[in-house]
Amino acid sequence: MQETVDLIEAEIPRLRRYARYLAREADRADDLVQECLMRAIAKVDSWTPGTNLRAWLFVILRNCHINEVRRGQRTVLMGETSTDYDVVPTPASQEAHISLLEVRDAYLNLSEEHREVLLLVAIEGLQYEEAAAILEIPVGTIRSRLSRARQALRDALDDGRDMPGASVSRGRETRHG
Amino acid sequence: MADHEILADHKIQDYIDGRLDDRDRAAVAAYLLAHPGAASKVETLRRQNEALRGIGQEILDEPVPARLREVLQRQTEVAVSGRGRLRASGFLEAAAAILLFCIGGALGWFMHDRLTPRLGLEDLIASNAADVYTFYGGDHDYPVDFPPDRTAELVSWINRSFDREISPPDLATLSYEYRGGQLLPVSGASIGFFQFEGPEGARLAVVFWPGDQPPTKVDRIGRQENVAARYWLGNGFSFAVMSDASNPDLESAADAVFAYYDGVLGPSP
Repeated sequence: MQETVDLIEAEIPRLRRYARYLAREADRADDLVQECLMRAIAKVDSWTPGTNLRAWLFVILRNCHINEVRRGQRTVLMGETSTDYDVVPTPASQEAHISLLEVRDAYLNLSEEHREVLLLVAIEGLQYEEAAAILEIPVGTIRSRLSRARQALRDALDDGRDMPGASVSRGRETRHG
Repeated sequence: MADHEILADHKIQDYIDGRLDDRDRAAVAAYLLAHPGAASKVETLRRQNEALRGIGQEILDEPVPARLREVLQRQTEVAVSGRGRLRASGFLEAAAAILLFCIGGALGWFMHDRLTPRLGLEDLIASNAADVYTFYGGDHDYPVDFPPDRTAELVSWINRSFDREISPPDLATLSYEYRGGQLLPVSGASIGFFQFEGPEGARLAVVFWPGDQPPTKVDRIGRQENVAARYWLGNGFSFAVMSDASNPDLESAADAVFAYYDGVLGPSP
């Protein structure tokens, strides 16, 4: 069991990042992670070694969040708000052709749905199947949503380029599916 | 047309996300070699992906808060010792059973209708009896997440979870000392837990959770094997005070606990 616990511990930073997306406030995000860890240990036997532990933990984390929202906490359901997402980037590396800052701005202007699918697949590196299990949607929907999210991101970046000096402001209108 | 097909958006995406088999990957790669325009598009996407991976990096770089490591460690200890205890004695099973018994009994009494489908709360607890086993320890050295010196932190967490500030009651007049507490996960909800120790190591636990129970007090006492519980539906919250069945202080402790929370939560209609 200790071996699995060590693996879980190594995932805490990733859990905190996803929780920050879900809960937005750092303290509440860590509460979510704490609850997720307790649940994970309580049902650690249900994790199959060899499968993606991160994906398994993300399912638990997201369920904790949804349960909390359903309990009528002050958190709003994802997708109902455009409140800022306080995950901020590290400084852009000099040689990157697409600066992290640009991408971050464009990313933050995407719809909640697009941000979450990009977070799971592009940022956390989960397989489509794993993301589908977390979001409880079909794999085909992951693929198409991801494709639209990337297109929206590209459009936003292009818009930013078209308007030198202007911050990327497009995004909400690209929200579909 | 084959070229167009091969670079359909989903194909590019599968290529970038490493979802193509060797043959398809090679075909895309060959196509890109021959079509610099398409290759540039793919490269842009790839860089976009790389840049995305940096988002939130500072969270990964933050030191993990001590409380998260601690909770993981403690829960592991509890789980490991809980498994041993479960095998060794029926105490935990009895503890969970009595909680279920009390909840079921109280709700049944209140509803005056045994045929009414069980309320979600009961199922909630029942489906997570294992969690209760795990967390409702019988040992004197039960490792709680929040020892007394971290009560403020616990109460703040309870407040965030339940939107009510619920502190451990002061049972000093009964010679019971607060030994710590925590929030226990059950599906769809959390249960708060305060532990007390009295004369000669006697134990008491206050278990509470929010719910949509009717705002009427239901005061019941149940006993099963060596565990007793007194249960009370407060104003938007339920409380159970539990102890060994032989503990003569249960009644008076429950009186004190319920009176305290009645004051904190406001009188029930």
